[in-house]
Amino acid sequence: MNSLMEYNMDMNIRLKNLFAKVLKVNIEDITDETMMNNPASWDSLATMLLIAEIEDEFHIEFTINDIAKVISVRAVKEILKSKGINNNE
Amino acid sequence: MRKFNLLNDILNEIKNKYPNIGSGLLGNRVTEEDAQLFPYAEKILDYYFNYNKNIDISDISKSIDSFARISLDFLRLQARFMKTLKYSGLSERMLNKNLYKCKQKMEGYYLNGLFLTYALWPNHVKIYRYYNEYFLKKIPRNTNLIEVGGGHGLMALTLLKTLPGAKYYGIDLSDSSVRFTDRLLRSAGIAHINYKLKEGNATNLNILPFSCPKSGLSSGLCCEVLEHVEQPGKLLDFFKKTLQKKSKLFITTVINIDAEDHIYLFKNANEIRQLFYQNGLTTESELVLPLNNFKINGRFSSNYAAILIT
Repeated sequence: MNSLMEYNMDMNIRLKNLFAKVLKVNIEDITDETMMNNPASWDSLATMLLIAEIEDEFHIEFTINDIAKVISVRAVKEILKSKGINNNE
Repeated sequence: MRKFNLLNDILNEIKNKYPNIGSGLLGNRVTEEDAQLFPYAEKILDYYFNYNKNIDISDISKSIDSFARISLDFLRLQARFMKTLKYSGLSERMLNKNLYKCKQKMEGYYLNGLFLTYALWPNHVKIYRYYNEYFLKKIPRNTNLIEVGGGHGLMALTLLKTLPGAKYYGIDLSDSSVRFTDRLLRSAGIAHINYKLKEGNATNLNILPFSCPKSGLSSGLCCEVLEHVEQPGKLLDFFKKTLQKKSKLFITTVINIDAEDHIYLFKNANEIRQLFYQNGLTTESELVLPLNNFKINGRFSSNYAAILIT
């Protein structure tokens, strides 16, 4: 139970790290409001890289419907939540 | 509605409805080359919307959804490919059963979506331009052309509209593709005497499924098929044996690009060139189109097209 809580606790940080790495921006610049085209480095190609990284990090698989929703950090958190990965900040 | 507006309207609709595929589309960064590609994209949309009325795909929103499904599936599978460097495709037998023989998928979204990629994916528009400018303008105006795996029929329709004296012979594994192409050509006013379509597997044919014209088959087409079979050399061998000597063959495939029905993985352009050489085909010209200069472990993902001589 503890390990699950720890796993959930740092989800936000892990997600921000992934976004910062793929979008090549500072982690402080990643917020829930970060979305496609803002920063400009988040294009279709970056979406593909994000999907790959998030799937690996959280051991999940995105469906086509999930991928259609990958347009903001907030939306990704919602997808993770729907897969049982909670967003405890 | 002017044709140019239709292209813009569709691009805007996709960007609004599916923002995460919008940035990979034609016209996202309007360059001089994009502007040159617009007329080809418009021609494809014209074919699609004007000639497909009879098959109930004139609804723009439904067509956009079909296109989005193909694009999103590409994002999903390419993300996985980056990790595994292997295609996720099934065997030829399973693909045949699960996709090519599945009317619900083929005629539900697959053929419509794939058709539209030729108008909206920059690399596909560039390949279509290459087909128009470097192939159709250089084959005999009364050519007898054989295509394997014509799918949605765009190349067939373009041939018969551009060269009204040509005859088209198409073989496809999928009965849905045969039906789709037949309806497309009929709706476009192409006389049935100018084309023959048959279901069949070109890698496993002892005789052609239609009577061969007395003057022989003088051109070939094989677009996005090599990567869908387990032994692409067999397809090239089919063309080498079926076409007259010195015929032109237009061929396209992909390098390190996954899709739900990709089986054979070309890791670089040299592997494709080697296969042509092994099957006695000479390259007249080729087009290698990297996908956003994107590299995975030193490998580029690219679209590839070539005009070969038998």
